[in-house]
Amino acid sequence: MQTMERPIVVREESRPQQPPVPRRASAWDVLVTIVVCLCLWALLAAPLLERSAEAGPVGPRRSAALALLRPLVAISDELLLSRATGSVERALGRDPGAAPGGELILPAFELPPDEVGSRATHTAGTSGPATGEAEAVARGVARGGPDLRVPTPSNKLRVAVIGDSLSQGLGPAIERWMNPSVVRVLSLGRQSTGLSREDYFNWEAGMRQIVEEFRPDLVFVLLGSNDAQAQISRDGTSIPVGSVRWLEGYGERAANLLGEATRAGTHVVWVGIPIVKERRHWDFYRRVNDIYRETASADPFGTYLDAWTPFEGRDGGYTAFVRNDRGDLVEVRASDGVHFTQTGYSFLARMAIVAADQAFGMPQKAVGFRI
Amino acid sequence: MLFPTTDFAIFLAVVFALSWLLNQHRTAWKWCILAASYVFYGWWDPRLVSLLALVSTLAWASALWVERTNQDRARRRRTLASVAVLLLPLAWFKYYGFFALNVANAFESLGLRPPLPLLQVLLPIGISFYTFMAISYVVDVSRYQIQVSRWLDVSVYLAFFPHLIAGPIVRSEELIPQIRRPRDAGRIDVSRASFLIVGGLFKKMVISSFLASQIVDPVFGAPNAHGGLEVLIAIYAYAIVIYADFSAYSDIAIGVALLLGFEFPANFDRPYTAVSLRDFWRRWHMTLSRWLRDYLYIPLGGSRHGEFRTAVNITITMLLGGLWHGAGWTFVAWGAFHGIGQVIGRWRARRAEGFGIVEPSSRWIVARKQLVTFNLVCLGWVFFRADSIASAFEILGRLGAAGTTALVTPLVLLTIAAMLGVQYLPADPTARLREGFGGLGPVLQGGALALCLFVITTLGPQGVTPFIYFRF
Repeated sequence: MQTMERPIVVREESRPQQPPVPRRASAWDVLVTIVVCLCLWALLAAPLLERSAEAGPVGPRRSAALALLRPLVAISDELLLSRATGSVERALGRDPGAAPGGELILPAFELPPDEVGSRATHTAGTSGPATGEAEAVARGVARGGPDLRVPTPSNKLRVAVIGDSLSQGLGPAIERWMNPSVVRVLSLGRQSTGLSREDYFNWEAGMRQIVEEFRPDLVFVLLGSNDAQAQISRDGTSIPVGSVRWLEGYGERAANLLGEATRAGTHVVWVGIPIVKERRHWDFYRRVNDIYRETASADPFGTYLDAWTPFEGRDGGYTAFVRNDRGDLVEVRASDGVHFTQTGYSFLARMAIVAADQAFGMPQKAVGFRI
Repeated sequence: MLFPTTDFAIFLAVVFALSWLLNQHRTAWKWCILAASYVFYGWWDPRLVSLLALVSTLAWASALWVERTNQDRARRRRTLASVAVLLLPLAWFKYYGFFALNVANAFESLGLRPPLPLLQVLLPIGISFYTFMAISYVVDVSRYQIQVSRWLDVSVYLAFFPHLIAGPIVRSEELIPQIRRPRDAGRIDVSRASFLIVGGLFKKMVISSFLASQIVDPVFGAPNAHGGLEVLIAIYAYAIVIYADFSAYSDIAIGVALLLGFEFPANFDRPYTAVSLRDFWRRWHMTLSRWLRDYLYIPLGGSRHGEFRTAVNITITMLLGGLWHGAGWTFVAWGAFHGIGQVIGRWRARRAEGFGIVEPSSRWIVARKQLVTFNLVCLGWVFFRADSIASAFEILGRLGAAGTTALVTPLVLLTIAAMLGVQYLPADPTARLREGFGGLGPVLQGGALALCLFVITTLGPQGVTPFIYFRF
């Protein structure tokens, strides 16, 4: 704030030299500049733009964009521009052949020597459990599957959080509740992803990569809010949303995603989609929540968390406010009616950790609150 | 509509052509630009256009009402009433939820029933910016600084799309004369405009996105999982993120306006070279600073009524300035921090003056002041970025903690250092490049810009996150 009463002087940045007198252009010249710039940029970025358009929901906007971009890509190919831009992309560290949703890049993480390549799988038996796992197996008999192992500072509990933009909020909140001296949390959520559009981002492949590189003990899955659209496979096959085939295909994709984790002995907490403000989405979200519940409940290494009911108002409808532990009203939902505030994510994260404890026996020392 | 999108690029090309085609026909030009600005605004939610039109009409009608009387007292009363009416939509959309929630908790703690229903009201984008411009318009009329313009002029002034969403907060005396007169179609400063736009896109899509995703979001999201060094670098990185993000929007807005033949005031002047908090506010969001000075601090009495009243006025101004940024206690704390900081700075300067101490202005002393000010500003940013006061203190509490340093990569450090270093360069580093660019023909200029945009597109993240200042 300026606190002196004097006429306003909008200062130029103080420079020792006067800048050179700028050359001026006519509106016509500038229009030529703009048109050349946009056309050339469109040609250079045509493959990128095409991938981005393909990622859009099936509908007239996507069709129109693709109809416009495909000839541009063909011209770009003819002029060898796409090859040149592909080289530039590679030089800048991006894979031009990657799916539009990008690649999953996990941070460097050193696994303890006895974990590399020797993880027990629940289908192949549990031979040779690592330190703490024998105890966990014994504790977990009553729950029908082995408990989460007791972590140590040298062999931390490895937790991953995956899914869409909701999971991007949930991940840091889970990390906040955990004890960082014995737990490593990776928040790997990707915006605009789900199970419908494998051509955009394939979570099954993503989970395979996470299991291979990170060997998580526990994975939290929260996705589905972008999935009310046709399913498209990487080979381009499309199944309209709402059809029986869509539901069957969706269930299959959910089971495959879960299987990629649980086959490797990873525990999974599948967090259902929370209630949203727009009532027109309720039927769809409830239906996919049923799929998640059935899928997760059928696997001893999986469990489902209902995130719908806890965020309902007293009338069973949507509410943005709930009471915290002290009885104070707090705002838990973001104004878009889908996402959460930080406080809301914190609530949801705590519920998810409690769900993990109830299903798999979360070690107390891994968590920053009393479970 | 977001600036860094294909939608906006096409929109700008069309509006540019129409704007210069209709340049000599001002009424047609105004209608065209008003329609374009409403399309730009309604891209998020068409219902919001009616709110913008309502605020514009209220500003115009209020100014007319104020102008009709020459009696000072009546004029003042009418101005106050008009300002109150103009603040109503802002109060409802931005502050009702925050106010009702705090009132409900206060009443319940006393065992009373909350008097107000809890509602979550959708915040119309840019409402704080155009409300402040509307208020300044009415007050300027009241102060005889300008005369009432036609409804169309006022509507274009408030809705003009380059500044509509996140400023700069342009004053009526700066913009309305430009709206009225045809612009010079042969004198467009295309090199300055291009550098502002491309530089803005680079700051937003590459610098801000990179630092936010690499260190700021992970550390502020879960500070307990990070050591002191990571927290410290994340705080510095956030100072760069918010500067790169907000100054990017201002740069693009100023550049787009230049292409249409309009001159906007500058909004940033190397803010991290400030030698005091007071100096910082002369360099950061300069158009908001002068608005607060002219329409809040001076009407409160400014520095005309002694040291104590001056201190109170500074604190009130900064508190309300903080609250302008968001309905939350963290913003109140941030505003209070800057207000009290300025009062202390002022008091120290006065005390030194009283003792006849003239501090030598050697390079080292200036550097020390810059370092202290930068760190104070960063301390304030912690409250600005944190989701609660408790979180802010948790982050600060982690500064001394041991822990990992994995997020402190050479590239993160280099980016922070480069963004700070650029502010200390004695001359505009792009001046020569701009001159060279200006000498190119339009086709070559277009080609060079396309290459820059392609690199930015490739380096940038998937999708575009909204500018931080959109929510203010």
